[in-house]
Amino acid sequence: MKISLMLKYFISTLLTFYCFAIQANATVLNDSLKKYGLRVGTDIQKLIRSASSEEYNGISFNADIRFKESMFLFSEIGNEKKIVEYSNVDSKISGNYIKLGLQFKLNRNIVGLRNLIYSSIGIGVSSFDQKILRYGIYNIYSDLWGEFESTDTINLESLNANWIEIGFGVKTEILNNLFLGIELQLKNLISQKNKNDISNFYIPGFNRTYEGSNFGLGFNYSLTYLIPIIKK
Amino acid sequence: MRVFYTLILILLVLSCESDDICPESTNSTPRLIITFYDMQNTEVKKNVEDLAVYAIKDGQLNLMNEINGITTDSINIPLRNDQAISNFKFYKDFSFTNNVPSGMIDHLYVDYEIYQKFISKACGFINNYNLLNFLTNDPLENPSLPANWIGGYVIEYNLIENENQSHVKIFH
Repeated sequence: MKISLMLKYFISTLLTFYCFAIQANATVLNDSLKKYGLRVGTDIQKLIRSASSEEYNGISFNADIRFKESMFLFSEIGNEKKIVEYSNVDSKISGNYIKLGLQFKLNRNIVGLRNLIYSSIGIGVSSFDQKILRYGIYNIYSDLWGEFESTDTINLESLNANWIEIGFGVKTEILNNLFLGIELQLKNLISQKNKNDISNFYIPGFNRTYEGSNFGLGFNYSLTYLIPIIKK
Repeated sequence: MRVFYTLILILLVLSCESDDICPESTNSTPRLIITFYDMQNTEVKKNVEDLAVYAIKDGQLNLMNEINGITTDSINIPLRNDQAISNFKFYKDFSFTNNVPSGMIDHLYVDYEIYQKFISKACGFINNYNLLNFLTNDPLENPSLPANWIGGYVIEYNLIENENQSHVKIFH
């Protein structure tokens, strides 16, 4: 039910972006995006979460390069550590990930503005460890002997996962060559490695997992700088 | 537009932090199932009259809620999870007068290995057991003391993974 709630946000956001895209296309002029170049940046959402939450620590760097009129090659690398707490089990996940893919520009351009509306498709690969920090034994007959909770850690090392990711985002130039962007991502796990039949509670780069589902959601709030290479 | 972005940001962050609930239909940690059979005819089930079971934990006696002087041929008893041995007192012809339990008493020591089995993020783990020994008297205290009413036992299934079948037969 939480998934459906999140989908609702996701879809309504997409619709709003779509309206924005139509609006942008309404005032079409020539392509003013003459700058080809390498854009590098970071996800500021991860930095904010790292600073504000004890349970999260993450950083990522992304880069994209325009290689055709409306196509970009992008990549992102990152590291995330997260503590996930449930009533009966706590877990700590840490690891690295890399994403690779293509972005397709959807909008035409408005003179004087260098906004970008795009969709993307890519793959993600993550390598991580999971540590069960605490767990309770689920027992509805615990009135006789009492509840039992273990603080023994269970180390699950060398786990991995890979997934397909489609994204939809906007980038807007806030200062010369400096872009602020938001991107929403829908993900689907292709495969993941578990140990001891314990599910992976969180996957770096993928975000939280849902039991019995390969579905995932994510978003980033990026700050990127365009290093101009070719100026046509 | 920026206000809008911020709103989405807040909504997404909030909606991602959900607490999953362990469904009530989830199989809990299984109990040990004991069935009682006739000593003379070991294929025939035989009721125990006025059976009561006490769990002995750190010198304290706790009477089991459902097994407090009932007449039955099978019982389910939870095993201890903080150590791999459970200690019980089985009363036959149980009565409780002036706060003093009386009847024919036998001790039962159940010795086992514990395995954790992951269920889900919301439920955590359950325990499964591997029965090693089933003793009617404490081997350290009274190795030669005979049982009072329990004539013998057979472990039918060592692995306690569910409550679908009886794990131990007791003859009396």
